[in-house]
Amino acid sequence: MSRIKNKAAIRLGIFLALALLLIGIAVCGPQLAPYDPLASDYTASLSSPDDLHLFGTDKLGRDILSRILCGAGSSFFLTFLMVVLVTVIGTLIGLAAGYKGGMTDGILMRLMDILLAFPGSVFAIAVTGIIGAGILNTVAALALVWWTKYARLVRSMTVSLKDRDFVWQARYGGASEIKILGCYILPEVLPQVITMAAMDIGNMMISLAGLSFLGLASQPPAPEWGYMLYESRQYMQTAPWMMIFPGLALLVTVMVFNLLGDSVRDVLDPKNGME
Amino acid sequence: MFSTRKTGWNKFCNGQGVCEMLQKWKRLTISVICAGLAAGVLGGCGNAAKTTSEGTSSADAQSQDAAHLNVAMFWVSTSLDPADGYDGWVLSRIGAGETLVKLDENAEAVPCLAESWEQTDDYTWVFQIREGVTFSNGNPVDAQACMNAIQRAFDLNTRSGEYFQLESMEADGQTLTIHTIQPTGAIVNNLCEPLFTIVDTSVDEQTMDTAPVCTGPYIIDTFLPETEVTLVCNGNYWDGTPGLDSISVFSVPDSDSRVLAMQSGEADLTTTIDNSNLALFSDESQYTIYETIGPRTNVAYYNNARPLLDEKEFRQAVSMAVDKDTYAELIGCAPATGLYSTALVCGQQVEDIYPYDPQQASEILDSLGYMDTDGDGLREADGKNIQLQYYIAADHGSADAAIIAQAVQSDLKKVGIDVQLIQTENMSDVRASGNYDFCSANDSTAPTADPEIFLVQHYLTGGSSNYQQYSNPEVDQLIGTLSSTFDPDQRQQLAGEISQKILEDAGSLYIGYIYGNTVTSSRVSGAAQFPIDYYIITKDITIQ
Repeated sequence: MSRIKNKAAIRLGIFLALALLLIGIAVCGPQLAPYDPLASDYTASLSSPDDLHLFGTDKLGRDILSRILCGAGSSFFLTFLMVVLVTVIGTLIGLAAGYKGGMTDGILMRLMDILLAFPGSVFAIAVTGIIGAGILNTVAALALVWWTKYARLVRSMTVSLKDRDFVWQARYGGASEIKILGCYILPEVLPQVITMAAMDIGNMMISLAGLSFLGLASQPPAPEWGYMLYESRQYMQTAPWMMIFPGLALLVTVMVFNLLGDSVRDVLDPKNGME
Repeated sequence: MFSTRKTGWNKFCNGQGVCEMLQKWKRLTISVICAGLAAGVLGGCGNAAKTTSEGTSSADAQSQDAAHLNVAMFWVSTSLDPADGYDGWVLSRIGAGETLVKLDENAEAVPCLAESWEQTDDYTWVFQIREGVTFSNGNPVDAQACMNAIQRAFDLNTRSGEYFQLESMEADGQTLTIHTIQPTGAIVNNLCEPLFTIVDTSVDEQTMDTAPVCTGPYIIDTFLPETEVTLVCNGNYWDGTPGLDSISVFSVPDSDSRVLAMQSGEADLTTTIDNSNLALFSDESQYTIYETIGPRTNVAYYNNARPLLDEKEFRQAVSMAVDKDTYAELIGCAPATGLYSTALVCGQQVEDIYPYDPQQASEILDSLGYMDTDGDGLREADGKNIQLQYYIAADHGSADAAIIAQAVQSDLKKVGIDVQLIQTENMSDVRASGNYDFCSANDSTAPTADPEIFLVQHYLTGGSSNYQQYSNPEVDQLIGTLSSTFDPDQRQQLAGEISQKILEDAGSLYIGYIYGNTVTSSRVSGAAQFPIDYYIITKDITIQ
């Protein structure tokens, strides 16, 4: 294994460990939280960070640290749900369009063109506006925007793969279409899809938080980072800890997942392997 | 934009005595704020920055010694035609429009363009229009001109009919006679509503949207819809010389942006700052804060027609289970009793009959048979956990509704009632559908400082805004009596009684009376916060 590849693998290991640590914290969040994230204590309204409340409290006297820890779970779960949704939908549609060609391809591609014509966030806001605010609705709205990217990638790869010799050989051998797609084309496409998905995790998390910030995703009093940022807006100068800590949590998480995505790309990049 | 932030911080530190703590956060906060702004997360700021740059340029255009005031206003309308929607409110707030009667610092009706009035019978009111008043274009203001302006409001805005039902008007010299269809005890107060601004109807109707000719201390110079109004002094003003040469009013809808505009010195006067940020202006050497309780209240309406909430005892138990005085304190309101704020006499006589008492609330719920039989901490009705839906909307740009709702949710959980919070952008649809248990509101319960109209709309059976489906024949009858009572003191007395009755029914959950505020830089003097927020710029405001 080359030196570059080796270095990339070490980086991947580090960021994977960090990401797993974050996921672990998210899963154990409710157990780690020192307070009930929903319990209000009016006497402790807007306390600055101290021994009792490490990250301070919000207007209702709720502990920010507990809210961040408990909010991590939903942020992570929804992000991964979205990643799974968009990769599965995008891959299936991309395979179908690329392999079938003709009418199927035409219709699916035009549908994608239509969806791509709208700026992503604006489209998601419009969709949530129509189907109603709510955390799962928002995931659905964002998924509706994001799958096109994966479908395009998979389609273009499928188009170039479907006339390759090994596919023809499988075809002459009597393999069914499903088998060709599943056993011969999909394995070729998958590394690219995984790389793209890994690099998108951070973006998706930010998009979800953004819609929450606008009041479209999470509903109060559920602790959610984006909504916590929205609540802190009013207290930007008087209680800055309300903004700093959820912001930091978001920053650190997105950074770790973005770096993880980069490392995955480096490791799976065929160019690295050939050196 | 951030050059003056330092002084802002120090001010706050001095005032609050938490300096050390904040200094620690200061640097980090500023970088976070910068990042936030750069990312365009804060929707309002772009607007502020835009209007600001315009503001600076127009301020620079003024000569050094001219008295020019920059105002950061929370709302600039799409037109300035007083008969169009609520646009007259803007016209009045910027010191351009005036009405026959106005509401003073005590929310009492005092003469403005009409110097006196009398009631000759149940249906007839006679107003004496002040002699020697002219519109800003020099045209005389006589009874005919006033009649035309009021008639125009009735012709163009359906809201007019809610204030009084016009039979006919007569103009004779300076004497204006108004005949109403119904006896209307509130007519004098209701004529203070800026919808009835006296505009010169003899000028080209085309100019009404952008530059209506009125009688106020300032004249509209330029108008950019929803963005900026500039005004100049009205040399023909009837009530002394206005204190300023010119004014720029910028639309800054976001409260935080108004705070920044004040701190940076881009605005000399602003209003409606979020309570949480008022402490930033506590340094008296730099700023002056004017605060007074207005008729606006934070309220959660019960849907009186929904299962459970249609039981009076259930509503009473809910009213007792919420610690509303603490919420009011938390959001910086005055704790509420009944529906009228203490800005009105009728609001001062209502007695709170639901002090916070979760114990008694639980007992009432027990006695109604709503017990927790499966031990999950929630009471059941018909074998299912009780769950009430509470709709929230960010009314008038305030986050108070969400804070109240979360506090109510938390307190009701303690007595075993589950509340589901739902944010909505379109509260009027939710109300119209009747598909809710609670809904938040920030309502002015006496928009013209008179108690009648709000009762008629919100509590009369079948009232136009009675979406809470409140109905009590006794209250209906008392509202009828109120309409035909003319003595102001008796009206207040009667309104207080009605408010007490609605409270006994636990018709709605009134949380707090909202303080209106105006903040000025120390260069500005003569400003005031009126209980009724039709007035912001007055002739008395001056700037050094």
